[in-house]
Amino acid sequence: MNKNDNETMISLRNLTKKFGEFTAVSNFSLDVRRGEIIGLLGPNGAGKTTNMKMISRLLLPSEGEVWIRENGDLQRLTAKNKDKLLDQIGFLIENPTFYENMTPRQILSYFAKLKGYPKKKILERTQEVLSWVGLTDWIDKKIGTFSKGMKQKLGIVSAMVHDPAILVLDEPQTGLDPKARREIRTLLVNLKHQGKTIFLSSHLLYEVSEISDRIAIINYGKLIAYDTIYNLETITQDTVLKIELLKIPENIDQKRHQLESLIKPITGKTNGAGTVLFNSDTKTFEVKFDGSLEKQYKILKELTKAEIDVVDFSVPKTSSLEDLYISLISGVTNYSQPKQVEEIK
Amino acid sequence: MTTQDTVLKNRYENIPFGLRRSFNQVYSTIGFEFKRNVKNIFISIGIALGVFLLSFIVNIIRESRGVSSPATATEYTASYLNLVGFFILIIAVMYGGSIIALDYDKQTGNLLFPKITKGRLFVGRIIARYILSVLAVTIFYIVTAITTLIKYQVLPVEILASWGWALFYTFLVLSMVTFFSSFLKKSSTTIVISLLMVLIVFNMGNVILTVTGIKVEPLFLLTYYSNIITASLDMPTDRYGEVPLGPPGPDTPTGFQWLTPSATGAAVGMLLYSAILLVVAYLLFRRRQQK
Repeated sequence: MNKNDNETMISLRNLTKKFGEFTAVSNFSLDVRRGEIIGLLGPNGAGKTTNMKMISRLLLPSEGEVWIRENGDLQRLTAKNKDKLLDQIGFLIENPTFYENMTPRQILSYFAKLKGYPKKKILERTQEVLSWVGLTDWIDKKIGTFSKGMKQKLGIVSAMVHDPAILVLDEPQTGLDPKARREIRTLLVNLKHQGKTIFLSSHLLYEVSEISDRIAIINYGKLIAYDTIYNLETITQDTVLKIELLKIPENIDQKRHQLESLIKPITGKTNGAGTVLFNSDTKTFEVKFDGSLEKQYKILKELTKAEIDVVDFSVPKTSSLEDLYISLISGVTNYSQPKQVEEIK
Repeated sequence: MTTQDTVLKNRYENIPFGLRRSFNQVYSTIGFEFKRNVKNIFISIGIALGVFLLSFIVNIIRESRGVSSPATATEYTASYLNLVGFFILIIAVMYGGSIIALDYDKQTGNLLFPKITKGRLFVGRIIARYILSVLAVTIFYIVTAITTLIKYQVLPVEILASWGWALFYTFLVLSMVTFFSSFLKKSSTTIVISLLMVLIVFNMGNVILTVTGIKVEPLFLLTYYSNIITASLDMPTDRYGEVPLGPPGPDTPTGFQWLTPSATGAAVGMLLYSAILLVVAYLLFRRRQQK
């Protein structure tokens, strides 16, 4: 990758963070491209916040580098250039807590001043960002009187008040009600349309999947998947064939083995394909396979030939993102390791 | 470079970096701290006036019971400074207690960083809170000076020296409170520990030195420096003396006690003491992580 490559806004390169013997983040590499919304998904303690903190230099990486686009070039984040580079980014790290006796006008003005935003435009900008989240009328109210959702919205706009090109938001929708979550989703999509690049972490799958162009899944500090939702679903797709028989057999295990002996030669055995399981809730036999229509036909033909009393033979929809996420973090599904980001020249 | 990069370049090209950015951030922090502490400003002024009134009332009662007024304006001014050490302590814990601990206790630090570095925030806050403490102490001295002027038609110039030492001592106590605030979990704990240190631990240290007869000047005892605030009204004054260690009587043993530091000793001592406390406080603050 070239430093002048116009697409990459943030590049994380082999980021590793160790706390004593404990490795919180291990060799984490990914590129965030211009105008994208990237969702960083992972269970609690997976290393999401540690990553965000390393981007913001709140934590120094034990190994690895952070590169940020500034003035047309990707530049490595160092102690010397951190003011310049971090000005390109608006951060919301963890739950925002405000000084309760202050007003949004005072807080946002202060943050804008810290970032060197033109003094004459600060009031106008403060009003603008507050209008995005419906807090215009609250500009001079004490934050102590705000609800949790209002504080969360204020936290998000506090990251945007200096008009950065990139937003790094750690769990921006935590603690919000469904209406507020939708408002935040809409806001983030609007910001994307304005050309902003957004890197957000969450454990709320739906919130991330609705707006993200690509999803990075992190578990135990390691990046286990990074791709578009479509690709992730396709690559790790598990199609399950459901077979319902006329009667529930007395010896389920024997029937299961009989079905397996008929089906496995057709599906093959890769990644557990052809293994027949009995679902005691739905009273059906389930077979994992790659979903091809030809194999479906062959299986049905084989079952009919063996005079198995099949009354229902169906393939439900592909697995949801939630199933995918759970299977990835539990290690049931393996996603081929994402291609390492190229060296920056 | 894309059009968007050009827009960003134009937006940021007038923004100061380096030293100018540091000054801007420190300056903005001072302004913000003033706004944050509006309530405390009124309370501290109230305390200043309260402490003054207390001494004023005591003086009136004394006079009404036939005790003659102090002979000189300087002595009259000194009668108002009995509580000045305690007053400075209250002001310092009020402004210094929350200086760092609050951001960790209430998690407000999550919003501040990385918008500002810890160093700049630390400097901005120290300056702002010191200015606010100075305001309260100065108001106390102003009303004391006005009262003295009204009563004696003269203002002792020594009051300026006393005021100067009071401001110096205020900085020292604020540094100590900041030091505790840098590692204690809560503002309230910081306030309690600071009060205990000054009112009990340092005073006990002084008592121990006196009874053991050790003649080392207690420049390491923070409270020792407060003595110069009153002593500076009547310089040169005795720097040490013998004090009885029991009920007065011919056989009562005496102990050696340092009464006040020299001007040079006080200036260098307070400067070094504050510097050490603030440097350690900053280092602890730098290492400290949000929950």
